[in-house]
Amino acid sequence: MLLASLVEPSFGLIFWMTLSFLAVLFILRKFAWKPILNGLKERETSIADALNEAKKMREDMVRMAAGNEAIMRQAREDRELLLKEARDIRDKEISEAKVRAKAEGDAILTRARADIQNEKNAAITEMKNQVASLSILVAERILKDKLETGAAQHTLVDKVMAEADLRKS
Amino acid sequence: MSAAKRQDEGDLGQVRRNYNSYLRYTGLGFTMIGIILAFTFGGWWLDKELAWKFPLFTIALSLLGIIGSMVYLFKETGRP
Amino acid sequence: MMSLKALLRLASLLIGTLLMGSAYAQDEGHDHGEIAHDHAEEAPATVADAHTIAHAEQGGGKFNAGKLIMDHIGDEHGWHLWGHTTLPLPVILFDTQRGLQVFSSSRFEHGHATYEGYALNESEVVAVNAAGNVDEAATANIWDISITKNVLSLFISLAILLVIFISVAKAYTRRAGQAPTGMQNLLEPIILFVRDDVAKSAIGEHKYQKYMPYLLTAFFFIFLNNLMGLVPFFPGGANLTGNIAVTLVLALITFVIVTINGNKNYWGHILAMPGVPKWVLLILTPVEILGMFLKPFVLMIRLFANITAGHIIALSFFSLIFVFGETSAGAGYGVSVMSLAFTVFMTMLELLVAFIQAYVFTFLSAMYIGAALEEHHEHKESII
Repeated sequence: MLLASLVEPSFGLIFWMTLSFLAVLFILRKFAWKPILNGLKERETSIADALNEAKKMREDMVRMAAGNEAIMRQAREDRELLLKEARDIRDKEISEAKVRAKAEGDAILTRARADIQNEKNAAITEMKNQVASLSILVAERILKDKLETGAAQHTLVDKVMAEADLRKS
Repeated sequence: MSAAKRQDEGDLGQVRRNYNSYLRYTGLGFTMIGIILAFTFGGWWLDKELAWKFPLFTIALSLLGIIGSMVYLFKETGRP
Repeated sequence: MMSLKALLRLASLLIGTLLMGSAYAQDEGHDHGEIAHDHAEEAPATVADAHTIAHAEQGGGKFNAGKLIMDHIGDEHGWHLWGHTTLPLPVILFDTQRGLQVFSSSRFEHGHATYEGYALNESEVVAVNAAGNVDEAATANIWDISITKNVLSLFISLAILLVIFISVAKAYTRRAGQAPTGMQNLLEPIILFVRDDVAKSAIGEHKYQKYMPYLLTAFFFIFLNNLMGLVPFFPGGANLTGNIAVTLVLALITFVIVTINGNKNYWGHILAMPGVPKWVLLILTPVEILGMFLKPFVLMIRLFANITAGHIIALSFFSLIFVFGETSAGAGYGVSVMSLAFTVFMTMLELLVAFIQAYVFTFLSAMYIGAALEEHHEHKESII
């Protein structure tokens, strides 16, 4: 009897339980579970969206940072290149200038040398001319003195003639 | 998103799933006993109705109940 | 020739054993019957004792543990609050002969008085004749739908559920998309638990939504009533989830949902398991049909037995204080320390059980629903 009263379901409680539980189930479904589950889902999706957004932003940041890095590196490389070019140009100009200066110097020297030679030649020629004219003058004087008399002139002529004959025969 | 979440849960999710799969079999013993009892009761009722001298159906159906419960056990645990 | 003889002997031996076995089984059955009978007779004896002692208690003030426990886990017309104070509750009877009868349970004066041909017998309303004896025929006409202690407790718990969850739902619409606060914060993990670990894992990602309202309602109903059963005074104290009528209705709802929503695959598996030889089907189909009813039945018994057993154990420890207290005050104090510790421990355990049983009931319900919705897939069954 004790056990029976425990395991035997009472009609009244089954009646009220079925009625009220189902009523509460339908009320809760409409006014509680629907908004709660929708709210949860919405929040979850919004959180997921926010997380995705943040992740995307972080990735963008990383990408941007990487981009910046690349730009910086490029700039550095460019600068290096520019500096190197500048240095090269300078070096080249210096060496060119050196070469040009040397060539010019050489040219000047050569010209100077040639000039000196010319001058020397001219001077030698001049000297020669002077010597020649002096010799002629001296010879003229000597001749004038020697050939003042007719006899002397005759002797000379004879002598030249004799020589000319001799050479002809 | 769900894939990421599952990854986050990791081991805990695995533990929960194992626990759930254990729960799957909690009612099995009772159900097996219930099957045997139901078969035996059915046999007993038949014997009572037929009023034969020999309680054939009680024996036969209780044995069948045991076999049935075994088959049921195999079938339930064999399910993935 | 020899072999045939041996075979015959074996057969006779087998039959003999079977017969003996059956005879033994019958004897055993008789024994069991007798034992059960003994028990059946013993039980009312103890109840009768309990009653006499209970009556004696009112006179002599003697404590009775059995009555305390039975009062707690049983049902009654009127709600005993403390001492001699009882909250009277409406008695509603639908009498097929006399129509609807409504009156206060205080009319019975704790079972001592008869009112308009009705009386209380072992806290059940019975019809009595003029002489004051129980009229069995008239009693059969009575459908008792009184607001008993358990029914009132049911209403209170359902009202609490309504108030809590409608207010929480308001919080969700009012503060949409924001972090939860207060009650919402407390309940959200449990709601998520029911959704993710019960519904989603047992029914599946795609179909679980339709069954969420039932699963959530059942879970919180069981959980709340388990907790309320642990509270020893007024709004609590009824043993609702440990009442078979309540678990019966819950299991029945699960059964109805499963049966209504069962798809072709589900019925196919019950009526004719695919890929199974015909002769096995002969056994398997009745077993499957039985299993269909046994599953919710086990669901009903499990919740009922767990909660009732837990209450009986906790109350027994609690009663020890008074039992020893009556023999001597010193023993009472001595035992009370230990007993109290045990009661606290048991209550802690019951708190856990309150949650676990709600979880198990909901999860198994969800699992049965999931099995009813499962689509056809290739079986790798090698056993049959």
